[in-house]
Amino acid sequence: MSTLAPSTTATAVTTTLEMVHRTGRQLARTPQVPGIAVAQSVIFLLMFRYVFGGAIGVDGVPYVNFLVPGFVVGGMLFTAGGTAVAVATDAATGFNDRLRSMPISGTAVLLGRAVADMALLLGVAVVTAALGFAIGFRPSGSAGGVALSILLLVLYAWAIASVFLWLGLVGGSAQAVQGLGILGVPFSFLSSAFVPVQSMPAVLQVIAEYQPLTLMVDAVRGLVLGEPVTATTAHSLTFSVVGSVLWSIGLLAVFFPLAVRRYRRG
Amino acid sequence: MEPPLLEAVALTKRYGEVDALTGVDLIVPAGQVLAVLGPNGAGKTTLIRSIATLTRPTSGLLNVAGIDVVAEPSRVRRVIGLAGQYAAVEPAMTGRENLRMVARLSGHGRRDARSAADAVLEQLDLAEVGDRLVRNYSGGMRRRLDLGSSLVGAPKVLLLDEPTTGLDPRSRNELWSAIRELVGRGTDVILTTQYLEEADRLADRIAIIDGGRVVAQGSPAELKGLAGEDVVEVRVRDDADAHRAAGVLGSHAILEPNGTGISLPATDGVQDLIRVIGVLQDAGIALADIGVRRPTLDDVFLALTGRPAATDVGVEAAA
Repeated sequence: MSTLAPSTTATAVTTTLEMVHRTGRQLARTPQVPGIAVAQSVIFLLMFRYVFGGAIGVDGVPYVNFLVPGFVVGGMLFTAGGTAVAVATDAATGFNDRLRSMPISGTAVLLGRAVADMALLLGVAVVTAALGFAIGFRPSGSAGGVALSILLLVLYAWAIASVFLWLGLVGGSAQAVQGLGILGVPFSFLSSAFVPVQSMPAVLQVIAEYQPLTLMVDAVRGLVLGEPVTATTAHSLTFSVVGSVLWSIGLLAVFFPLAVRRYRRG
Repeated sequence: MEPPLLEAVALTKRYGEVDALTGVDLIVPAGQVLAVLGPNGAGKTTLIRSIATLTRPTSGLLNVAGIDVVAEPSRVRRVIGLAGQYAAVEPAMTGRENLRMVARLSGHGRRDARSAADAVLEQLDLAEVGDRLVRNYSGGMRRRLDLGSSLVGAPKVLLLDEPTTGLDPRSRNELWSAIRELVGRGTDVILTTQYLEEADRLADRIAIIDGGRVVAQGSPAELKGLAGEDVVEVRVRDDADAHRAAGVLGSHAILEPNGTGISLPATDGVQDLIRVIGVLQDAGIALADIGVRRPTLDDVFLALTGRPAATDVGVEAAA
């Protein structure tokens, strides 16, 4: 052979970084994927702001201030559908087989994928927030609150990336998981993302108040807007922050190991 | 002594209700190219996926290069390189980037990964397109890059699952020469194929599998021996002479149903051919065509599995 066999195996850090790099290139060189995610966010944000916005009243806050944090959080769920498609494609095209036949850690491979997808989700969130600012969103919370909300979003991005990673691996084919982004619809509409939960029928309120998206939306909204909006939520800000952290950690703790197990099984 | 390339004893694999492998027994010494030949659904892919640690066998023993695949999959992964049925390369990266990534994942340092990638591009004749995105590659180029990806880690044993399925004859020939060159450099290869020519051209040893078991194994020459002896085939110019020709050639000559061809067993190869020409010339019978036909793996395949093998028109014609 012209090349010598390597004397060691790749470390977990190298493996993760190579996978991050690969996914990053994939996204950068297939700009349709992040492009569509951003366009989708922009279109829906503008529709809610200008079409439905006038009809939705929220006590004590301008609707645009109420909407943008909800939209940033809810929109990440829609973007994450792309993760499932990419992962299903890797499984179907033999890419995962190659990786699995190599002496590298499966956890490190999926961690790399998850990290890159988190970056995409956060990138779309930043663009959405910036657009929100352009159409009148004005955060009134403390700098510390904004910083904490960013940390929450990072954790949340990792959690939902893990869920969609697992969905992609069990889904089988890209076509089969193509529609998974639609999962975002019931979760985001049945939450406080676009309308206050109090406006829903009592039964739905119970579901909506405790589902992960509502807690995350309420936490982020409370942290970036401060006092006026926390009065409109079902729970205290502390409850929402702690609840959203617990939900994110719980989803991560369940779905990331499930995804790794599924990946190893092939 | 070097452990065998492959050692399978009573190997089975069951997927739910389906028995993909029903008891594979196969021992192949190191330093060889093994072709696993069989029709679709025979269990070839299950066998190679088991060797590649992608699928866990249900029962039986499976060692590759002396390492137990079930007990020590991570050690097996250090000595194998896999190229599958699909070109498992990243379309949004260049050929060079793909190879560097796999080289890094195989354990190469940055610098070694770079030189390994460059060497493989050179070796597989991809240096010129090395900096183009793979999504712009032809099917044949992708397969070569996929083969290259399995090489950058310099594996002891190369596993190729139907490496040329779906390729046009020219790309197939190119891939064959690339594989032969690797073999020349001392890499052991286990490949699956449904093409007889592929097995014939590349392998030292062929295992024919059907219904999840090995139904015959040996060198290509030994297997052809199973299909019987050489045959002299004669075609006369004037159909009216056919009966007379069969008559003068003796009792072993068989007149073919279409009435123009005669065949007879050739125990002495070319000597028999010369004798037949002499006899027919003396009888004043003009010939349209004559030749010695050696049994092909097709004949073996048909005899053993009761089915003709996949045909491959382009390559057949080129050969």
